[in-house]
Amino acid sequence: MQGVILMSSECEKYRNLILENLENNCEEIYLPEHIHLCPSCLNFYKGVQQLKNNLEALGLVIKEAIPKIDISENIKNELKKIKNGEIVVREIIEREDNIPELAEWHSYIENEMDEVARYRCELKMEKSSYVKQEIEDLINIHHAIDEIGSVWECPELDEDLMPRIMEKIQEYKLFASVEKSYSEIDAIKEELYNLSRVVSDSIQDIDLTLKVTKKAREISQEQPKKDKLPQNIVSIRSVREEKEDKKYSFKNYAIPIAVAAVLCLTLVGVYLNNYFTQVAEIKQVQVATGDLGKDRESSRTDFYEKTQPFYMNDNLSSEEKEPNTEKRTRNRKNNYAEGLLSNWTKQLKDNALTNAGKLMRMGVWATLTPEEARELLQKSGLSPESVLGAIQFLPPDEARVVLQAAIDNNPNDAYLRYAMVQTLRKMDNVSEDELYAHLTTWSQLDPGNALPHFIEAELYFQNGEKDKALTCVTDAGNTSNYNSYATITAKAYMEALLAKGVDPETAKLLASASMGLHEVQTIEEIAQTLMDYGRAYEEAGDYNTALLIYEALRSLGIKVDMSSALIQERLAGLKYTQEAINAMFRLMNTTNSLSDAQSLIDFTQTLSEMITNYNLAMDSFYNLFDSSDPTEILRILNLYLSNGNVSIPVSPNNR
Amino acid sequence: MTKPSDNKAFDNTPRSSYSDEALMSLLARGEEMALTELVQRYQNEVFRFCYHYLRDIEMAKDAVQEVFLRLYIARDRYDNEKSFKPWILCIARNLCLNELKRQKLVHFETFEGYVENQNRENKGEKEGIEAPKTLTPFEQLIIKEKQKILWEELNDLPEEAREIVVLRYFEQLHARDIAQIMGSTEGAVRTRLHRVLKYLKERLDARGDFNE
Repeated sequence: MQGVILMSSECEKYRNLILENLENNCEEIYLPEHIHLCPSCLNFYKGVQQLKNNLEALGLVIKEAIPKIDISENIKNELKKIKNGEIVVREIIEREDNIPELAEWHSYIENEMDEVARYRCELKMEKSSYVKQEIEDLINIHHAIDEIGSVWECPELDEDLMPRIMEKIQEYKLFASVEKSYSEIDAIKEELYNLSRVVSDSIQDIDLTLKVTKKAREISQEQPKKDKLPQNIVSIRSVREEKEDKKYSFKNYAIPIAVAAVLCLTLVGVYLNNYFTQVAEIKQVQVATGDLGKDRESSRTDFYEKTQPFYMNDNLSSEEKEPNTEKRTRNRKNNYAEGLLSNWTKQLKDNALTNAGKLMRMGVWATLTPEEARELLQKSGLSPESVLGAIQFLPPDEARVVLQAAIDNNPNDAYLRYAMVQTLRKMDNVSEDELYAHLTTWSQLDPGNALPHFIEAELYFQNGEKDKALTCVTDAGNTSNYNSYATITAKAYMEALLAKGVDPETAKLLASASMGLHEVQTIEEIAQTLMDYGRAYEEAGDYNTALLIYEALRSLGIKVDMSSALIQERLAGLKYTQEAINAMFRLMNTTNSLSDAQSLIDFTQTLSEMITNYNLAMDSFYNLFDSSDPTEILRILNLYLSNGNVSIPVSPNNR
Repeated sequence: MTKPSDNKAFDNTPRSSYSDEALMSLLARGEEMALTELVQRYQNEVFRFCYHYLRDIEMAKDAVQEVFLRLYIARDRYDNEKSFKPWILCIARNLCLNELKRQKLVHFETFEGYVENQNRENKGEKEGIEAPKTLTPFEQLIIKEKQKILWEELNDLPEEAREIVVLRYFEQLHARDIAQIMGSTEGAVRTRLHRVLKYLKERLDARGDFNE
């Protein structure tokens, strides 16, 4: 590196300054002093100036040598062409890499294209005479078909379809409504079933459920249905068997409901007070003396009136003065269970555990053997209720004798006729004339009651006497209510248990639990018979008869729901009302005669409201288990057992 | 066209002044008078449409009732952004095809019955159709002959081709609407139409008597 003069930082600074001001043509005299004093920097300055001058001279030479070119106009023209797009499109199309597709050709044929697409098609046609000819041919065919199509006239619609469309929509709305109702009632059934199951499971340590249920089933099985199929117009056995296999048939859950009711009472630790001292005061009679019916009626009346619920006491006098027999009978029915339970509310048991032993024995006490029943009937001083209760445990032929004696002495007692009819129906070799005679008398004694007419209709159907059956069905439709005497039967049952020596607490619980079981089964049988025969006639093409039967079934359901004191019965009524409506709609649809659809629609609305009420009832029933107030629990149970409606909003305490 | 709104003035507006889509909105809100209006507007058109498929007046009538029932059932699911007419015709098409399938009938029969229904007397009164009086008898004869030939070829079209021909040329539907009815795209419909025309051309060329 020796001999090389290293440029100082001062020289570097000034040389940069020279380069920066090169374009300014700075004169030499104005250069900084350093450049003048530093030969190296001065030489640098002169060299740079020389180079600049040479380049400028070269530039001038080149400028003179090259001809002038003005492309601005060309650019303007090209931009204008691009703006129009025509050239670009033409060039692209001419490259033939974007030929029209079939869809575009058809758009061209139908003259539904924009200009660019049209040009592309026309250009293609210009280039190919074959394509042009083909497209022209297609256009001709297009126009020819179009002409044919536009001239063609469809057969005219010869009527206004509006009414039929509206009818169809109304039908749909109704079906939708019925479907909804079905789902709602199914939900209620399921809830009831689950509810009873939960309660049953919760007290397995007491182990009462099975025994009471067993008893209830035994009662149910004591009523074998008469097998008269050979005489029937059609066989309905398979239909019935199929129905009975349904998972949650009403019969299946009715028993657990009753069990649940008893067990609910057990859980809250209720026991009876001295209510039965009132019962003991009832005038005692002997069956054979001939005073049974009369005394039974009077004692029953006394009993009902003595056992008004505590919250009804204020109204008792006015009720007693009510001259309307029907109303009084209704009050009796309701007051019976209310009377029982109102006493229970006074003494809530705090020693439930001490009663466990009693409850364990309940299953044994729940029934009377025929021998015990006979022994009981031998005793003197039995109350009429005890006698009637004891009859329930006798074989039908023996019960018939006792009942016949009672009827002979009290021919105008409707309940005795009912009991006799039910007894005769259990027997195999009974005179039909006798049965019909009792039914006729019963319906005369209780003219507003639809039940005897329905039972008679069922019998006539089973005997294949269609006309008589339909007459009975019509008669049933003309009645005002449905009375299955459930509370009287339950009371008689309780009295029999008491007479046997079952302690009052247990007898009352069992009587309450069994209340309605027989009666629901009766409804089930009648309704099922009507439904089966309705369907049979429907399948046979006798639509008028089928419709009449379905209408009767609907009437039965309505009457049960409106008249019954028990929620089990009312739910059964609701169930068969719905089935009847469903069947009627099916029939109307089959026969294409929906003229009565509107009335069914209206009724479905009513049904829907009823289901809503039951939903409310279910809510109240659930409150039974949520409430910590035993009084409230008992109030709800009281209402449930007495009149089936637990949604009554008036608290007894408020009364 | 008036759109439905919640104000009271809306309720006083005649239903006939509403668009189809607005009436569907009303129906979805529970105004069944809207359905009445829609039935009045479309029952003839839906009947005609169904008749193409079913070729039976009573069956077509039943289908019309069913179509409006389905419309009612689907009232809440209707998309107001979509055009009403293709939507209801799509319902009608599906219903007719199901009915044909259920009865094991041929999907879209031939056009043979159509010739009988053609009202030739009114032909000249139709808009856009050349009046026969401007043609010489010879020309009219040729046109008739050509139409006869065309009918024959239309009868031989495959089922699917017949359907699209009916929708386009007999129902005078736009390709866009046909696409919506058939659940396809407009381009696909145009392509199929073009293929049908080409197929017909080939058939007619092969006969040699159409273009003479």
